[in-house]
Amino acid sequence: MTSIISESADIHNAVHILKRSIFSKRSKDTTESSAPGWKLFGHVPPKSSGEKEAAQISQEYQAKLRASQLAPSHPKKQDVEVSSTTALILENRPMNLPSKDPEEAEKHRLQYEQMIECAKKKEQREFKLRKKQLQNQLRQEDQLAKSSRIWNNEILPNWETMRSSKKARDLWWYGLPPSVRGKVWRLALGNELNVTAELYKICIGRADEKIKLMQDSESVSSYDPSCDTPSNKEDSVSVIRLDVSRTFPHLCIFQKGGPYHDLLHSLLGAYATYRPDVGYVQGMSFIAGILLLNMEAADAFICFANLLNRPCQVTFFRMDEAMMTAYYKTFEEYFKENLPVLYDHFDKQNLTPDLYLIDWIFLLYSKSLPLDVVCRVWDVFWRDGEEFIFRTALGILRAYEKTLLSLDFIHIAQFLTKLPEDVTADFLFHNIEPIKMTIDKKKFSNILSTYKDNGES
Amino acid sequence: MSGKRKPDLKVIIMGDYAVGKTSLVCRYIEDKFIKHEPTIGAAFFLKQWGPYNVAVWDTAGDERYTGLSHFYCRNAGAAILAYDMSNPQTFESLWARFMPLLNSSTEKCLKIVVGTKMDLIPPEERDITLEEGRKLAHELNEGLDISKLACEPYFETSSKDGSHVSEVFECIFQYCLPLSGDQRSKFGLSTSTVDLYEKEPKRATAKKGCC
Repeated sequence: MTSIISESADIHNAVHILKRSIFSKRSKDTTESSAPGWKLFGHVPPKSSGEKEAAQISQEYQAKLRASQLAPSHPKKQDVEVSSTTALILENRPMNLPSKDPEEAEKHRLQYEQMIECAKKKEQREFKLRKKQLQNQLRQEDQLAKSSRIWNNEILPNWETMRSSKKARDLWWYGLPPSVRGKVWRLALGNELNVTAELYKICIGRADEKIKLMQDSESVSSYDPSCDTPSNKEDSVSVIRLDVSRTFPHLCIFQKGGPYHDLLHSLLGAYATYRPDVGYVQGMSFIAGILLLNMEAADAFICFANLLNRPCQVTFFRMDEAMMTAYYKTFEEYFKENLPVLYDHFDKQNLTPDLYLIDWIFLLYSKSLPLDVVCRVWDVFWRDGEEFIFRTALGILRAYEKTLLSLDFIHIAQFLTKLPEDVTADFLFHNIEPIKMTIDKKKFSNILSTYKDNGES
Repeated sequence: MSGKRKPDLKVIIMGDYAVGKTSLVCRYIEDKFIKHEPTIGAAFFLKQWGPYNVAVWDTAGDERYTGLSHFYCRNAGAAILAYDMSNPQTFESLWARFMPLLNSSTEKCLKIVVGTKMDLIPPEERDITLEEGRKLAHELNEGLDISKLACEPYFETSSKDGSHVSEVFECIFQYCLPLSGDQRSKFGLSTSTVDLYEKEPKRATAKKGCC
């Protein structure tokens, strides 16, 4: 299954191409009809008046244009692009009005030429930009196609030997092609828990039974607080129902009636029955949602279960406060090392990392960054493990360091819990790259374990 | 403008998941009613009130995040305890979950109980009466002198149609950040105080009208 994201991108491209061709056709039509004195502004002149001259001028212009356009490499295409300026035609005054003074007429002619020149330049500029964008897009598509070939033909068939090769790792950093993304995520994460598609089916069945049971009892006795205390994990069912439709509302695919509503609902319900000790925690719906966007439901469940079984996720989803503190302290150490000035500023403001890290760690940025950027972060998260969550955090802080240095406590908290919406993957990764994750040859795991031991003793 | 200044008051909003905490803040600050994603951790809002800066901390409702609340409550001047008027269980949560929390972390913190989603429940179907709500609000504020509070520490609101939303915040600000009459007029704030009692007869007549 290709991912939704790539599909929507394709549709977008198709629409774009369609639009382009429609527009260019239209402008070609205007060129043709502009020959017999058609004009864009002003009244249509009386039939006989000035038509000849107007036609002449426009023809002269066309000739000039054509001459100037012989030089560029795509004369035909450019002809289409620039032709719209010729729709603006200088005309002499109609016969029934006194004619212009020759000086004035000359002035107007010059103004007209300047206008046409400006418009032409602008159109050429825009054309160049469009061409560049198109080239960029084509180049990216080429790269994507090339990289998916390498993934499909070289890396995936020899996963165990290739996964840590320099070639794979380098390619990985620049983003997985959507066509192999789900596969690579699944392989990189592994399946320590040996969860199977069959188990998923069983869990869905059990969850459905429970929901039915609850609905029945709801209709019999309207409300019984004794069996429905907030601490009861069975309560998950109603939270799930609420949260599913609150997941990525702008995509409109997880909402009731949307194509992924039932899938997401089943996955979360199944997990709550698979791990009643964890149940459903708010925020899980976002993680499951991203997985579902990139792979089949059963695979998404397998990944979901294994992901939540990772040490960092276990720590946070179960609110193991001692371990959470160890993670924060480790993060602060890297913060101080990589961005000392900003670290001091935060320190002076008494702004502790838990304020902004919680959201990022729990949801793996799925609510904080645009969806395509989230997928890029997840790509490398599977490659590098939990340290990449913290490296990304430092990348974000580095990207906005200048802004953050000018803000106080509450504004920083506000900024970091609601990041600018225009952040691009290139911008973010450009800022993540210089973040070093070794301090005095000590790796993330070493530093974390010292804090872990300190917390325990 | 006032980017470098420390907030003069911290208001924290707590309550069960999906009772409409974020909607309440957004209605007050942005005067908008939109569907919100669940809050994880906390979200932060700022309000300029007269010469003062107010920070509003909107917290996550999921019970699993309760562990973080102690930290969020620290130095809060006022707490809004929100419950969903169409879901009595969320009222119980205020007793069970949040009262112990607030008692331990902040003594001098003003507590305001706020019922949300008033538009969703017809008056004759409500489980929690006005008296019960007020009773809880008064119990929560035991040990705090609320005689100078201009209104009852209990409100019933609808973020959808906006009713009584700004009154909640105005009431808190007036108590925690007293302004002189001069200051009020200087900053273009209304000088009248809000009283839920006064509104009561009005609503009763409205009730008659629609049934």
